[in-house]
Amino acid sequence: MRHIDWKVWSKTDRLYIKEYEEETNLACHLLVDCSKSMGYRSQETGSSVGESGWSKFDYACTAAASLGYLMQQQQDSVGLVTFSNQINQTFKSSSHPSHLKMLLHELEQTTPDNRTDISDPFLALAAQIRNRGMICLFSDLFLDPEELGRALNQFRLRKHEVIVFHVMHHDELEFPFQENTLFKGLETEAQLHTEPRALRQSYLAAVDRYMERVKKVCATAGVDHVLLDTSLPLGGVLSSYLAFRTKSGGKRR
Amino acid sequence: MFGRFVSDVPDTLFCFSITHYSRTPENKSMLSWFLNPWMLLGGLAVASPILIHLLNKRRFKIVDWAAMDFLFEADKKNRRRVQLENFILLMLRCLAMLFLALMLARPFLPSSVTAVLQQAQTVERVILIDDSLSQRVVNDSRSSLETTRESIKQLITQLANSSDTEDWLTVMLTSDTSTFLIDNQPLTATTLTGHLQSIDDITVSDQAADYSQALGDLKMHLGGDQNYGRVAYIYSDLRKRDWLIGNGAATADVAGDIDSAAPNKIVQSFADSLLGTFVIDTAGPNDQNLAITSIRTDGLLVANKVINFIVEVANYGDSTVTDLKVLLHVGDGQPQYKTIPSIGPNEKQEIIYTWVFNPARQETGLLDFGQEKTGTRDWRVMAQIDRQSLSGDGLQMDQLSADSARLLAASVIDGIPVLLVDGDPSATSERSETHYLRALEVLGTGLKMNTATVSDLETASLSDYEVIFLCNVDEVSVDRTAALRQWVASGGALVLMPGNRVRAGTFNDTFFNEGKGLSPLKLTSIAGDPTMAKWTNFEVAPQIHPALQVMIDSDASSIGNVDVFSWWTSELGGEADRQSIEVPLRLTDADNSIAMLDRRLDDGRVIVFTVPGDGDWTMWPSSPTFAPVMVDLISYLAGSKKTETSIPLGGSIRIPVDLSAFENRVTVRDPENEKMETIAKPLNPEKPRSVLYEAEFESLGKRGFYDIELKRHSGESQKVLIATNYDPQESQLKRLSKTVLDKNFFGEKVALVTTAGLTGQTIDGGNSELWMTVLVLLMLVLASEQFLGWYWGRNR
Repeated sequence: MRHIDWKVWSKTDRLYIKEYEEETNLACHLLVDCSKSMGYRSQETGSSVGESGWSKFDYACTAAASLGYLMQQQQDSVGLVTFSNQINQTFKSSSHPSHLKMLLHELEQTTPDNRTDISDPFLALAAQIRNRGMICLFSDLFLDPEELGRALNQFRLRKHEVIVFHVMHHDELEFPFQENTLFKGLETEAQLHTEPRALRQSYLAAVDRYMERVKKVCATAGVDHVLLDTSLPLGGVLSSYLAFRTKSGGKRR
Repeated sequence: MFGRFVSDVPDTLFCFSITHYSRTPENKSMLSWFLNPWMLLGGLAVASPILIHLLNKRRFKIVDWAAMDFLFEADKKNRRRVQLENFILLMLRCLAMLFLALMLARPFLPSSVTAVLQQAQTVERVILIDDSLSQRVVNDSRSSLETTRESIKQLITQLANSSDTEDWLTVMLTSDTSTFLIDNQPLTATTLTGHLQSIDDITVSDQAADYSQALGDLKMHLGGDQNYGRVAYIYSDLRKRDWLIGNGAATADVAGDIDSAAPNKIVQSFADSLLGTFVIDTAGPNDQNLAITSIRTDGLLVANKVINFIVEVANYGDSTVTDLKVLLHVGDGQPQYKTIPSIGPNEKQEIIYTWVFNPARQETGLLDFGQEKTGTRDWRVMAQIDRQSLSGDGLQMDQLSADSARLLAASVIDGIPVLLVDGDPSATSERSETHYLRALEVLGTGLKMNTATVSDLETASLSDYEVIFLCNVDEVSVDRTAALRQWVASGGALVLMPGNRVRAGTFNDTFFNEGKGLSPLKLTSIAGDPTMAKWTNFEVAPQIHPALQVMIDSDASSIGNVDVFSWWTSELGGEADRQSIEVPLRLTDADNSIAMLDRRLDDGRVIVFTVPGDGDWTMWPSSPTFAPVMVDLISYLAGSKKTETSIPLGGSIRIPVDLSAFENRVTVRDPENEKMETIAKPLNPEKPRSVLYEAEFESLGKRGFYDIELKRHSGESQKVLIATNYDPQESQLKRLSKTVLDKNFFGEKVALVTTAGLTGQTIDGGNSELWMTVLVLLMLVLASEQFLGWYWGRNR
């Protein structure tokens, strides 16, 4: 009832619903995963296309910074949270230009550490971020999708708009290894000596299944899921996503 | 090890194979199943794929990986399958290495095993023995044949006393492969004595060995019933001439000249189906030989005439022989010696001996027709190398003594029997033709002249004469003309000399007979000047006739000086083949008339003179050239008739028998004085009334003189002497060179061994090689490894 524009009704005797564009004071929080798994980079520099030699973390930071920069240009306030299995740093949202500089400095300083575990930090975060706004999560999401679903729901319950930028390294998507390889876990102590060619098919199938689950969880929570492949140029990926949002923007609320 | 195994599975085929195998002492080691056993060391290469695998495991990259969970999940799903696939590929690679080594080691199934697979515990031992002349070659005071016999006796004794196989024995000789010396007889300790005796009784056949024929027959024998295994033993001294196709191709030393009918190819062709094939070399390494390769005379053998015997001596050794004495024995008289100062290796030299034979009977004066037949006497002639003149080294140069002598049966006639038929016996004898011709019978000419009238001719036995002169004869009965023609066709020589008693028409009817007769010349008329006021001369054709050679040689002007006053003009006609007609003498008159004509008619000749040897016609009979020309003409005519007096050993001979004079029963005495009888058969079965028969003697296999006796109806006998000689090719002892043997003659299927080497041999020689099978298996393994690798790789 409160969305009905009574003034128009009184003049025209017809009911109109008021619509708003939330264009000012949108608080956007950039959540960047800085667990060890994000530190994976291709060892054969120059071999992969796109932003070659970048780790997933580099890619995620750049994407977060770009997004933060765009927000600030629109006078929106931008905050930053870095986390692994705990919250490492939190910067409250602000639209002050120097604030962005600080955020960028922080992203540059941070090195990936610890494992990914979002259940605790996200619960705390959901409580911290009071104002409704936008949550952008940059992570490789190497965790249980159910847990991800629960964490995302925390934000959705508080009416935040959440976008998940799923950062995957090209090697993780394609598994291009040929020779005998000893795979050492970045987050765990586990290691596997294997012939990659023999495993590729099964590996890709496992990745596919995982992606499906992640996408399903995101869709259930009403969250946008954007896959960032490190081999693709970042500008292209972001602009195509923003264009998509502009087109479908009205219908999402 | 095998023994225990056998006791577990008695009465089986396999059981037999093992026992057989274990009992053969030569087969102690499994390594004897491989031609290159040391190649089995290559089997160690089986470790290489495993090593490569292990090395590969040690070489790896380390990647710090984030998505370990996915990796573990994939690994868990794949591990078993991948491990199994990898294991299979590894095994295939190991197997390939094993097969490679196995193939290089060339395994074979020993015939002892294959024999069992063929259910052949019975083995027929087929022995082919070379009993040709070259087996007489003496090495270390033992002939090749003795070596062969010893080797065979040793072999069969060994086989009879061993209980490995049940043996049967077949023995063939190269001289006669159509029958067997021993025909598939059991070879046991009890039958051994008989077999040894049979082997001991083998003598040299003296004939050439024809291996193409002998091995062909052997192959036919081996092609029979296959219920049991066979082993062939071919004893040979490996003479080049024996082992090359056609026996004559001594120059063929290259593979290209040896075609599929060659003996070695025949051996190869049957060796596959046998348990073993052995060619046993029985000759010395380098045999030397001196031989007399031919003995012949230079003309008709006539008594009271100088005869040349031409003897050819060959040195088939590697070094020069000096002062080689060669003897010529004629009859029982003292031999003549001649010495060859030096004869080089592979050189042939001819020695000429001169000889004059005495006549069979001494005659006095001239004989008229019917009084006396011409006598012949057979002489045994032998040319021989005097081995006593060879010193110790020299004897080493002649290891084959048998061919150091060569025989010739010389049938010497008292004179060339000539019949002179005078158509005008009443004419002044001093000027008639027969007068001048009869005068030719003097000592040294070797002629025997018989004179007859035209009526005598009708009853004369033509076959008693070599040459018949018809002087002034124009009429002969039709039957007699036909008989004359047949006599000429079978080798007689007829000389026609028409004179002034001859009527042209009658002569033409009898002898020209519209061109179908004996004479190709048709007489027309007598030309010239009977008053002897004018004359013409002879002109010799550029191609000088053998009878006229003496005219040219004596004095060239003598021809121009011979005056001819009268002659028959004539014309050449009829259907006689112009190729067979020669005109050696013409006249210098305007027409260039024919003076003499020579016609070849089958085996005989007809000579026609248009100028008779009559003093009224020409001055020729009284000129010095007449007599030599006539003597040479008669020699030429008689010499064209050849009789075989020496035949190769094993050959056959046919003796013509005229039933009008002889009985059809012909007896022969061989060199060992054994008597045989043969019945003559008609020469031409299509003419049953013909009296011409012939007696044939086949395969005269003994070397020496054969006495053939023909009985006349009158009870007298006539003898023919035949000499048999070795094939001169057999004297060449040249052996096949080692390279030719290795390259073309013997392979894996055929083993070439010496007599000493034979004892160590087992029938494993005829094995079935398996490398091809292994190669196929290797290719299969490699192909499946590649395919599986690709297939599984594609699915991952």
